[in-house]
Amino acid sequence: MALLEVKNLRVYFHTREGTVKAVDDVSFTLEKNETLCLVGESGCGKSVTALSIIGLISNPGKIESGQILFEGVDLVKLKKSELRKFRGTEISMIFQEPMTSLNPSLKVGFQIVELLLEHFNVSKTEAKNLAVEFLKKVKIPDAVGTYDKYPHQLSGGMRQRVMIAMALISKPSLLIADEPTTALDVTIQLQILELIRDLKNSLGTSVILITHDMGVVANLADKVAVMYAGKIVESGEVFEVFENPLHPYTVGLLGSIPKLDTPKNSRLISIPGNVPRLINPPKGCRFHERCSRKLEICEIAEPPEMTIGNSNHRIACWLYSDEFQGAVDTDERYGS
Amino acid sequence: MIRYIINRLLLTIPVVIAVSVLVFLFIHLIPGDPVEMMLGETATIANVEEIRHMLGLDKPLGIQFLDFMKNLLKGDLGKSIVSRRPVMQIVLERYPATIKLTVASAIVALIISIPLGTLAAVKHYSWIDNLSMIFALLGVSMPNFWLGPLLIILFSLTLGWLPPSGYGGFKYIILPAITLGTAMSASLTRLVRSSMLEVLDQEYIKTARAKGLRERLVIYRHALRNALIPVITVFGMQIGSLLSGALITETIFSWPGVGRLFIESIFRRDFPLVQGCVLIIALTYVFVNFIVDITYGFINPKIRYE
Amino acid sequence: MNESDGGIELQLFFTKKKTNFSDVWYRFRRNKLAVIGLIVITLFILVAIFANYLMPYDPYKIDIRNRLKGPSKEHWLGTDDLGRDVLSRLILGTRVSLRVGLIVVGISATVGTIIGLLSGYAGGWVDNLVMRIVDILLAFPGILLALAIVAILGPGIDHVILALTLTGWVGYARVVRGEVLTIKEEEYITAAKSSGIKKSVILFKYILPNALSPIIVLATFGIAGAIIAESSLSFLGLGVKPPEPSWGSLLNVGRRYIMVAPYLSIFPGIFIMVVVMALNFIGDGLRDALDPRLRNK
Repeated sequence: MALLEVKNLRVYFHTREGTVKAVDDVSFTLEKNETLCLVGESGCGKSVTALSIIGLISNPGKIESGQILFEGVDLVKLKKSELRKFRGTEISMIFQEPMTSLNPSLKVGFQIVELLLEHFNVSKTEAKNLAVEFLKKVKIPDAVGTYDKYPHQLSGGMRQRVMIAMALISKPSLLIADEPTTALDVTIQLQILELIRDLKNSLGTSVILITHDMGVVANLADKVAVMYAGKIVESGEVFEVFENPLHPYTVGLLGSIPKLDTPKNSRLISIPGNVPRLINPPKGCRFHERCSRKLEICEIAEPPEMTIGNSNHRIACWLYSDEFQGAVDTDERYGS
Repeated sequence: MIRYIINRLLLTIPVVIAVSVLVFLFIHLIPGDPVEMMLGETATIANVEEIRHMLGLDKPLGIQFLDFMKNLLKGDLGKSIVSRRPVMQIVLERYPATIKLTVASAIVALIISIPLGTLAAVKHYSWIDNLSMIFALLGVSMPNFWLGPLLIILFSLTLGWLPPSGYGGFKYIILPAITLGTAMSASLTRLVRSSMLEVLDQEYIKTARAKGLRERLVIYRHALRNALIPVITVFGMQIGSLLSGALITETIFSWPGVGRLFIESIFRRDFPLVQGCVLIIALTYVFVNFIVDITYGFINPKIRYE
Repeated sequence: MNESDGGIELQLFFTKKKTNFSDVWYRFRRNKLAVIGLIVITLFILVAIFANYLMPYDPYKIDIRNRLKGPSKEHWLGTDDLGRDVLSRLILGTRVSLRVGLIVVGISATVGTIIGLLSGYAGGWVDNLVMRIVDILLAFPGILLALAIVAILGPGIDHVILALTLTGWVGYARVVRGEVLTIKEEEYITAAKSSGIKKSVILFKYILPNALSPIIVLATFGIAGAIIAESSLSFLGLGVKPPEPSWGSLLNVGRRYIMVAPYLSIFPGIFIMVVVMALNFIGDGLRDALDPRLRNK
């Protein structure tokens, strides 16, 4: 049984201006020990998907339909109090801004211990020891001293390590990391990612990593799912998708990374246009307004999700459906 | 932290001195002869001279000032013209009553505003939220010299539950404390609410929930703790206005405090007493603000650990 | 061509774009509460102006036989301790309150603004001195100082106005000084200075217009404050001289006779509360209209 199965998840926000379809029929699977990266521009629904899994969607947002099966249990159907028992124990989440993700008026050590005291039957001393141990595990130099510090006394990188410690101390089966390195110095970013990878391996945690940085995906992920405007447009094993990107959006994302061997005067390919408003998404494929290869049908109907060959490589694009195979050039399909 | 305290002290002390000087000058700002004004038309020359000598007004200004400051440091504020007793003693007798009233009103304000404001924020847009905003509006617009009598009419005259005046046990302080504390509760409620709304939007609240903490812990330990920081600041700043409001409230309820003493002594033209009251009340205000500043330093971890 | 002439073109070029009046009015109009407040205040102003025509009885006419009678067909709000018609006195009292409010704020806002401008612009020891004086005046809570002044000078509306003005300018001075400190760092001021424009011109034609918004808002709330202060003083018996009626003095009588004539304590307070609320709505509305960025939840 897969660790996590998200099936046809729809999360809508009912605002005064209209209903925002932030997540519109998203499905994916995550096995034990796997790392899945959710990629996409801001506003594509990746954070909302993550928050749905951990159960932090609140007014005006609502999970409209779909299932989130965690070890077989449908989280969507659970009562709030039951769902709370999963948070911090089986499923943990860390956020983007270490500056603001920690309570400024509580000591850092306490914020870790608090979690243990809430969910587990440990004494205060035991909890403190566990916390200090874990602070060492996340490679904080002075673990004992740091325990008694306030967030404003630590650097960004240290704060993120504390967040990681807080998230992993209860050895959750699933860690969700929402752009954990975006707000950090470039030099620290790599360290944090490696830390996540090492800990994940030693603890056997599955990870859902949200990012808009394809470099991070290449570094850490087993699987990748590319999201656009509330839908998954392409997903599969990382190597497969990187070597063989099919969806024009994926191609665009990969093409916009400068590489060391990019000729000096060539321009970075950027995808023209903006993410559509999710209140009234365009009819048909949501990407068609920015797609350089769109067909007529793309403006009319949403493409269904298709599997390529025998692999896990799935794609939602008319270009690859049986009817329109002819429209695809061999060269373009294997574009770089 | 120590540096912060010293800083505050250095700012406060000159103010204390200046206030004393200003109060001293009061008597001399009266147009005409202060003593004649005090005694009114029935005064004889002998009376006037006697009082003038008693107040030391026959000495040159400079000497008067030095005497005043010397006496001030000794705690001697002169003698009341009416009762001939030392001003300091009279004021101190009434001081505890004012303190009790002020403290009780502050407590009333906190008891109402913190729960109400928190509830309004947590249940944003609900009927409680709207009710709290209406309360905030009314509480601030109703002058205490109207609220007091209204409360008396309701609770004393009509319902007979509480006494309309007097000093003694718990039931005597209820109406005065509510009267004095309502304006503050109203403005604090608004502040608690907006502060909580802001805090609840913060990232670390998401983190706290993501850790699976009970919602009540999230609200009290994480949200409220941070939301109250600006509230305490404003609360401190407003305590002073309680002292001002006490003047009226004590008069309404015949509460035997310094405020009522002040008003009475004005009508009796007892200037040394008037002077003493102004000085004590002003200095109390300055002192309270000083304590509030220090407390703020304790609460804000950024100042405490520098 | 003298200095200030040469400055005119530069003046047009460098003056920060002022929010123009019709924009402000438009935004203000959209705020329903603010508009209601404006209507209410206008009504009160009309009452004050036309009091003589509105009063059913002579507010000073004493009629001992009819003293302390409750509301009735003849006297809608009853009679006071000397038999005078409460409604008439209440209407006349409007005049006192509004007069005090407007005069006090008019003078203290002007004086406070000038002091704040000079202090903030001059800086140095002048600024320090002024701020120390402000601190000292602020060391007296609420109406304490005003009360003390009235205690010395004796009761009467003019003394009340004087006392409230002497203590009221402080708030404006502080706010204006703060604005000046911010504004004077901006580029267009430096540009104006370097093109040789006189300091006084800079102060009044460049800095002041941009500091006006907070002054206007503060003044609006200030009127409410002045009305409450005057009412408080009159309530204590240190405001208007009898037999002149003020809302506060009516409540004073009410308090003295609360056991036998509770109705006396109800209506004057309603008037005060309504005026204060109206002014608060207007003040909030102005604040939002003048600078929408200042809007808070």
